[in-house]
Amino acid sequence: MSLRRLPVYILADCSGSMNGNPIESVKSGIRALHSELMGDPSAVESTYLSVITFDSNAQQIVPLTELSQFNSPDLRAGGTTALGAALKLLSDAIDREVKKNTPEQKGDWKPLIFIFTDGEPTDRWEPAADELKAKRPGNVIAVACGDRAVPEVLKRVTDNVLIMKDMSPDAFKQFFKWVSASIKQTSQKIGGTGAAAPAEGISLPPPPPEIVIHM
Amino acid sequence: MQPEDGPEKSGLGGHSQPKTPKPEMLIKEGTAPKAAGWKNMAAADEWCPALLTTKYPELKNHVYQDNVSSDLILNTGWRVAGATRRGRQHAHQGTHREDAIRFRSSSRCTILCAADGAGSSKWSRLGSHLTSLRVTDHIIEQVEQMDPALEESPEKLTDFLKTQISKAVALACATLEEAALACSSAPKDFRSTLLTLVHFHGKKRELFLCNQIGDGAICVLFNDKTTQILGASDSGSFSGEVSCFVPDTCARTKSERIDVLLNCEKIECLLLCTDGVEDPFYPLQKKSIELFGQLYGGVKEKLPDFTAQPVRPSILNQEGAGWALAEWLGFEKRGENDDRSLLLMHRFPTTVTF
Repeated sequence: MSLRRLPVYILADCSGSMNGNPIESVKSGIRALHSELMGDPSAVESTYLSVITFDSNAQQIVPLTELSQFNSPDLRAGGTTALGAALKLLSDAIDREVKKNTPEQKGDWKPLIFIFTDGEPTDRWEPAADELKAKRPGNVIAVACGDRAVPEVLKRVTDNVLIMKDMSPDAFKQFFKWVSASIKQTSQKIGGTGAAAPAEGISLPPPPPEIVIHM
Repeated sequence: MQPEDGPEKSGLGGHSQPKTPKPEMLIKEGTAPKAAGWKNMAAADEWCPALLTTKYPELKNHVYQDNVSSDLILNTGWRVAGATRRGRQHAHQGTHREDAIRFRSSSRCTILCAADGAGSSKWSRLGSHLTSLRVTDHIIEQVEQMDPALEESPEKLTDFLKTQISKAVALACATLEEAALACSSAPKDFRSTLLTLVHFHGKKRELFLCNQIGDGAICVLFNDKTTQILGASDSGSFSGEVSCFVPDTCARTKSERIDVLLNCEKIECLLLCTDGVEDPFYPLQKKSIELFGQLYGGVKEKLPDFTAQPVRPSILNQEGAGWALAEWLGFEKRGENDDRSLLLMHRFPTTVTF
């Protein structure tokens, strides 16, 4: 079936510093995101979710999966912050999973990618960041969480960098609500038109007050 | 998350006693919540802001409807039929249709326009409406006023008609820029695609010309049942990516790329459709026969990748072809919830059978 999907990739930092409340908040945030999206028929028809985690290694723990088949993963925190490996894994997953337009087949909608991390990368992340930024495989939104994250690192991956200093459960809840609204808005554009100029990227809803846009 | 062990009610007013749930009753963590259904809500906002109705009486007088159909039998042996239908996404959100269609016919020519307002643009529904209005009116007026001697030379006639198409697009761009200024918006807030078909039927010559700005498709069916895609669709690497709209600067350049069809006797039907119709039939080059097959021969069974499509008699052999088209546009295909518009010009009565 020639279904056009909206691929959504979530890259979650599961390093040791996320232990405790932060990792629990991320888990419940992904569950809430799934539940919220199931309430939107357009998202149900088009959205496919994938979760990539990174600690000392990177792993795609949920491949690109139809919303109705998605099961929220169990996340555990520990180890270091292999952001470079996660970016490489993301790039490979998009190459493998996302369809582009061809004369024979309409491609998927441009992927939406959310990256959040609370610390400095511990691996050799720069080549993967540069490659991803040059490749522009989708609309990438990176969020620097807490005091130890370095927004400048994320700027090397994407121009869309947000800062979330507060890592309380409520802040994560607001963050995932915003992710949900962003996905819905993107899938609404899909339903409403064939018309989003690629050069301008996408317009997302304003982030919650806890999140600051890094200029 | 497991359900709490609770009282199980047995029979009418029976005793309650704790019981371990059966395995199938356990709600596993991560079980998908139930998917929501589609709603059909009227648009909540006004169709046109007051700032613009003052400047444009044609917008003030316009009565918006979610679904519109029309058809007209011409005395040239052709019929025009068209329909535009609000997509499920707009119906669910309670927003307006952003596609627009319009046609006009005079003693010398018939003009068809289909336009699709860009969903990311705030006033795109007005952009598509004004664009189709300006383009049809300009070309009709200019062709009516043209020097009849132009018909003596096929080259001069073609050049004249091409120039009028380009001028009409430029006029539409200027109109949208003015409208943006009038309501303190940016021209890109009025963005729309545009498909234009001109049928010139003078005393000595007959020809078709067409132009495309943005996505959607223009397709011709010949009387030997072969088809050909005309125009130049504009798309990027991913679905939904379009780089040029009216009133962007590039629209003026794209308006100069015009296809001309001179062998009109071989033509059975010409069709314009917005992406809401093209995408479910993509690639149209291969699936155009399925599409024309349904329009001419009716729907005998739903297409394999469609979710629902009622059985219908021939659309184009019906008296009210416009209405029949609007009904036909109601087919369902997963992930295809955009506005749908289809406008066509066909031999009447039809000369091919499917």
